[in-house]
Amino acid sequence: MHIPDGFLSPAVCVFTWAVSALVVGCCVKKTSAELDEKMIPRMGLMAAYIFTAQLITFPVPGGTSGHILGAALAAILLGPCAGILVMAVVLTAQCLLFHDGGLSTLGANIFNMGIVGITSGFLVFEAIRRMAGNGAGITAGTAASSWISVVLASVTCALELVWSCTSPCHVAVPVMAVSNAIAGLFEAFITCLIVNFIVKVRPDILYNTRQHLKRASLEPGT
Amino acid sequence: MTSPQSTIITIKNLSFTYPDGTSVFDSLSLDIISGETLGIIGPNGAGKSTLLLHLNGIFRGKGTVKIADMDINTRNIPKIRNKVGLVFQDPDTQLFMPTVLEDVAFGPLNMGYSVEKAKASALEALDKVQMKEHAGKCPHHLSLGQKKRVAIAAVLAMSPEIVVFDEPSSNLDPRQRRILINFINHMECTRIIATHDLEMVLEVCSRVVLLSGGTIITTGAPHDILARKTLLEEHSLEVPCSLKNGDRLEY
Amino acid sequence: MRQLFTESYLARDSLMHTRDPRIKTAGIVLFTLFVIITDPGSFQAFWLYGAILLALIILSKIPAGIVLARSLVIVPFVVLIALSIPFFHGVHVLWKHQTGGIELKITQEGLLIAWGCIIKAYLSTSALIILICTTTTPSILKALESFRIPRLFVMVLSFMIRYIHVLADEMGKMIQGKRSRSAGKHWLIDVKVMSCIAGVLFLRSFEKGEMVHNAMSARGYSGTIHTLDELSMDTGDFIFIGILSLASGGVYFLT
Repeated sequence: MHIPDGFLSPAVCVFTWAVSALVVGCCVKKTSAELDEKMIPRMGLMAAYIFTAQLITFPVPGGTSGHILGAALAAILLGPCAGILVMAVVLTAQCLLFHDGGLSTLGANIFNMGIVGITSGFLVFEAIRRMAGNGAGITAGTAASSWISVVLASVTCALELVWSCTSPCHVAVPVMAVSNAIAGLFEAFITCLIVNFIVKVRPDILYNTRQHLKRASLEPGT
Repeated sequence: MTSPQSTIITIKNLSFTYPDGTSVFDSLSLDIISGETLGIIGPNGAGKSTLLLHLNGIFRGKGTVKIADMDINTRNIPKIRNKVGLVFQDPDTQLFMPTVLEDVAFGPLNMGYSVEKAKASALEALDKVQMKEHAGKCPHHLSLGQKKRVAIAAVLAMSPEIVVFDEPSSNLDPRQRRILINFINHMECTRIIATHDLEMVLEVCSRVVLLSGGTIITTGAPHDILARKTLLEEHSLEVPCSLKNGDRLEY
Repeated sequence: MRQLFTESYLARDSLMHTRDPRIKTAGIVLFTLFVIITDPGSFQAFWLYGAILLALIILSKIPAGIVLARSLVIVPFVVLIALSIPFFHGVHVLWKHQTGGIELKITQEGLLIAWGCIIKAYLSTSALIILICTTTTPSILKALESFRIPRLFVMVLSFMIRYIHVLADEMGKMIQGKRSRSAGKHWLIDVKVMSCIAGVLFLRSFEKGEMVHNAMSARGYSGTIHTLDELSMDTGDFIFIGILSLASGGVYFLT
């Protein structure tokens, strides 16, 4: 889903760069205020984790294998602001170190996978968790948020291509939506397994739990 | 500056409990003499690493910890961290900058040195550990032994009066370990070493403290303490081979 | 973790390798911008951009094959654009087919759009590859800082890059351990174990973040990272950026 240079019009590039820069800038400020001097080491390690998690090859029936996007995972574990910051850092590194995604389209890639992916993932997870409680709520919320984050990120990507007149709407949207709806099922399954494992071992470490404990002044330390 | 043979670190009635409720120490007291090389030995979970992290204020328990007559509080922390250099067990957590030179200059820059002075201190420190030619390298290109040397340089660049080592010889090959032992022996500051490497303790330490279950069991000369088979076995340690046979090689 | 593919090329000595990273980054960005805003119909322009790229490859002493092969990362989007071609509207129809109510046609305009995307992506990606093969990561980070990218963001990026290798090594060891004990297991068990590995890696990363912070605090860190400022430009840098800007701009404005 990393759009290379040349596939988006200059106008779309400028618009998405501007929006992403603004949103990521706000997330940097907010995360820095929350974490203070722990921000750089913690966010650095979390970004390194998401990057590495994306490299993990998970087996798929039929003998192939796949990778996860990790947006929902980042949203659930880190919350929306830190999640957007981490995804932006990961995407920047992928562009600059692995030429995955273009420089002019970095704004759009951050917008799709970072902002849309994280925000939708977080909101869906929160909503389901509040409705269904912990336990089943975490599993259902993780699954739904993973699927939705992948699909919405890809549809946003498709709409940018349409806006740039690179691909007609009746091609880009179905192709991206359908292929990523399938990939989203895989993402949902894997992310559920990972989050359930983490919750079993360290139930206090999910973003909302840390926020809840902080509010109740029982937080071990942020 | 404290005079020789005076106490440089005073720990009085230190108690510390982790946030999850695990108690580590209860009223632990220890004095460390200026210029000595103190070995802290004990089983896993004794609280060695936790104790070390109290010496530069990263952990703050109940009781008193004084470094060169300074209480550890928010106001004194910068001065204390200039005096006490801590070399962590895992060099990867200590080398976090993009290049070796920037890692070693990190401390001096935080002390307020100018860029030129920080660079000079860093190069001098790297020279002491024979890593000067690697100054421009990324840390992940170094071997474990090289990373450990750079981690020591990163601390030495701040010219501390006290250097604290947490398991410095772990995972080192014999040659790297010998380089480390020789280096520690040639240092001139107060040294505190938490380690399982009892042979190294015999070679470098002037005094040993046995810590177990958060309590100081005993303290004394290495050759005395480390020859006490029953005592050591009670605390999951054993007499070093060289003392078992009674024939220590001289270096 | 295996070395990044760039690492063997970073050690070379060439005119590109010795240029200031700010100049190189700015030059590549400028080249990319001109490529992107060029009209797809200006075939001559793209040939000339290709010539500029070839000159940069020669100056860098990097095998052209590596640059070309690595640029294939754009293939998924090329496939998407190829699928789109029969659906573009256009006046100059080259081929037409009606099937089940859907009209497929290949038009000159559609082919031009596809050509434009593919050639721009190819040229830009190749330029980026030349940059990362001739510029060390610490230098790129310093260049970003000098372009006023917020320092906090650059430092998080720096720490991330530093610890990717550490985490990838840890993950590699866990996977080796898993392989040593799980020959012929059903894929469902395999995927569960891999997910546990991913979970353990997260917990270790979180704790490592705490330990790194402790190590930073132990050396006097209190929220601001000061770095050594070591970049300096020479005449060669100014000549390089001058020539590259004139060449790229000249191609865009004059063709």
